[in-house]
Amino acid sequence: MNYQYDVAVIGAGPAGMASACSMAELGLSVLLLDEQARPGGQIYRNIENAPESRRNMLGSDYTIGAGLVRQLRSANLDYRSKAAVWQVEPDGTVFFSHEGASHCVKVERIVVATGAMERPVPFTGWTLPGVMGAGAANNLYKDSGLKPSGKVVIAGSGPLLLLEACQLASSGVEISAILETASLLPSLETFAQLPSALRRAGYLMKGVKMLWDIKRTGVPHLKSVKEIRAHGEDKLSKVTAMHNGEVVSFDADSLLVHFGVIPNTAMFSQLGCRHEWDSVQRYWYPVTDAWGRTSLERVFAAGDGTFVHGAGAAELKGRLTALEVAHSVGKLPRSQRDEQAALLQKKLARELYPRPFIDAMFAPDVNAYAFDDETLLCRCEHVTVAQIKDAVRRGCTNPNDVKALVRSGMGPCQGRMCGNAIVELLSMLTSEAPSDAERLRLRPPLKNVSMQEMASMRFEGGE
Amino acid sequence: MSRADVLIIGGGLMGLATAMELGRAGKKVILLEKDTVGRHASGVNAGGVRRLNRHVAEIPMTLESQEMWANMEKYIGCDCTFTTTGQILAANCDEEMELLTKREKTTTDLGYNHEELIDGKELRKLVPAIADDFIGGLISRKDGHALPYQACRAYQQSALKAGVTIEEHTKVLGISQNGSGFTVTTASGKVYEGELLLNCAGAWGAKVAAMLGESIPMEPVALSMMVTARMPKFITPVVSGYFRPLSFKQMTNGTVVVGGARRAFITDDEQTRINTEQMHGSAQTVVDFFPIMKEASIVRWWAGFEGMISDKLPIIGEAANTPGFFHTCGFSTHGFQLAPIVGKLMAEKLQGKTPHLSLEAFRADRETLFPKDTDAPKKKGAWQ
Repeated sequence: MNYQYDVAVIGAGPAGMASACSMAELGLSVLLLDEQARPGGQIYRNIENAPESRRNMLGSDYTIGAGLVRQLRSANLDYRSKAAVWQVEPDGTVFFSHEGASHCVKVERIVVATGAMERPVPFTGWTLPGVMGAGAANNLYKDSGLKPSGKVVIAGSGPLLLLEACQLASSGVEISAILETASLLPSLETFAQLPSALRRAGYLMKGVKMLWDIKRTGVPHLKSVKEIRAHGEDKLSKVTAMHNGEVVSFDADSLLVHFGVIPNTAMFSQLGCRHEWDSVQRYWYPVTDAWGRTSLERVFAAGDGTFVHGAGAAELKGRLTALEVAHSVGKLPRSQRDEQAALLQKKLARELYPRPFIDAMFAPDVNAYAFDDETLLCRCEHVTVAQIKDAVRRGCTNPNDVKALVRSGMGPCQGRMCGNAIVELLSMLTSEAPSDAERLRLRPPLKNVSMQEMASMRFEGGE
Repeated sequence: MSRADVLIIGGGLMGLATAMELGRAGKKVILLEKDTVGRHASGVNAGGVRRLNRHVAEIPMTLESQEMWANMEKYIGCDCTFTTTGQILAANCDEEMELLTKREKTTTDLGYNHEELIDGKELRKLVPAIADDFIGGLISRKDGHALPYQACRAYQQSALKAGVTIEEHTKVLGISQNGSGFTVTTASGKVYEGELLLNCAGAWGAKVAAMLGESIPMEPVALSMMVTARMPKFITPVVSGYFRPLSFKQMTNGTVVVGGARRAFITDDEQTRINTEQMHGSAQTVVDFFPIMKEASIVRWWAGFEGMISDKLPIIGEAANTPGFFHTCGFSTHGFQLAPIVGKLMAEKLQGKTPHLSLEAFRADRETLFPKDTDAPKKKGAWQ
């Protein structure tokens, strides 16, 4: 079999860039495909072009990515930006769309570094103009310095929610309220994870400082909030929530929501990799070994796509994966692989100390979701919560049967937006744990392809 | 142990329809389904409700079935989104047009009038979006399409109402015959008994038959389809190709569903995997038929399992060597429209009556299934 490259890396975030660069250095021929116009992924988005004021505002967690991007720019590899991968096969075939044409390449190994995404949580009014993900707002700032205007409410849960609140507050945005679904006091399970976390006390102190910064601004910061709802006619005007058994209400022009970060498993699902359910953070993730190898021999996963551990860990995971890929294609002896891995593994372990504590602290509270009947669950196909409930009454008890009947997850996003929520809703309605239920099956293509592109694409050997 | 008058293996449309009819006739029926109902060909097919260009042996059934589709709401409490649109076999060369002309003469001579030849002008009036090189076609004006999975679930609900027991996630492992009927063991550990046994296992029909030593010349295949993002309405009839495999329809929601005998791979764990090169071929056919489709956006492709019989006709009848064991399987990509009538006829047969339409052509021991001379070349065509 002729391979056009030793390896294709999909995604140019921290894990993708790091693994691609490492493999290029080890002498592999590398194709790096990324959907964005510039390298950096979501976390280091637009780092090459961001002016100093923006870099200062975003701080060292952002600017640290500049080094990696510089490394990529000088690496000896084939990097293609604005390339949308729409199908990947376990045998190493990768299909992608680039500059108006679709291509097919055959590679010996695939590293999927498609990262993580904000957990989509449907609630009443979440499709109103004015409501958006906090991460999406953050991306707009990184890309073009845009900030929300008018009154802003921030709602949800997770460390990034607080980070976004701090950054917005210090850049002069008018925040009306922070509505956090996480509870006032951490649970006992959370405290059990504390000793490990204390080994990275500096990391925890960052969090404590964020909380202080928020407190100093005097913005109302409510905890243990439930049933967030967005209201308005043709755009957002008000946000309500339940707090201590009472309805709280805030006028708002923008609502930034964030319910934590989950692995983007779309490509792994399409490939057919084995997944497991994490019952603390409540998400599916592809099962990998210590090198990132998935249940499929040729397919590796690196970065937050394997499990959400943050950018630092993602880069280290990418470099570890690179070593094993190089070894597996015969470009790096086992002894050298292990030697080079030792330090990376040590660093990674250190990076992961606080994660169980953070994951437990910000564990999603399913009871905080309202799931009103009229709430739109599947945005692509306009399927409401009531329609899902009706499908269950008509005998559909798993996401695939529900999808076949009411079309939830059949649209262009292939269930990326509604998949997780349907799992939670079905679990509530059927009392079956998500880990025991069937997973929503994802159909190719991962991204829409134009009929003309499909008709005119070339296959190896031609037709 | 559960005992039934009739045990049915397979929760596709055939199994569900037969179960419902038997339930309504007062029979105790248990239906065993290895996955969930309508999960394979029955629920994921392209949804064509077609009488056009069927094998002549199927015409009496297809005509009566069409009446049933038109009255589905009354019959099972759900219209299955059946829509009358007409179906057209479109021709873009003289050779195709000749074959269609011959076909029309065959059906007319037999006394049927549902198929009608149309010229290029009429074709363009009905399908303005069709490419310039098309010169005519064969139309069946009252044909249309429906939503397959909705139909499966509606039949399931009707069957339940008729007292049928439906056991999902119950894979059959073994079957034995004894004095009082059949004993079926399943992966869930439960054992079922039935006086009569009906094989509606679709693509797995030959496997089930083999459990009782019966042979069915069936090949399990996975056929792929694709669907586009919603488009403004531009076509009403379902259009098929004759030499070039294609089935093309715009659904009521604006999406365009494309089928046409394009095969997908079957994996070791009985899942389908799309053959992208086949989808490339399908896309070429689509843009050649409908230039307007160049700008269409493909959202999804998928595949469903189907049982193909060597002579492309289903097997509907008693097993060759096992009295009391019946088959309704191997519909070879054209079972969806027939399901309502086949359920009815098989239910009649299982109650010991003579079915009101003949099922002779579909016998399990018919000669065409086991031909002595296998050298005869097969003529390539869309449906035969």
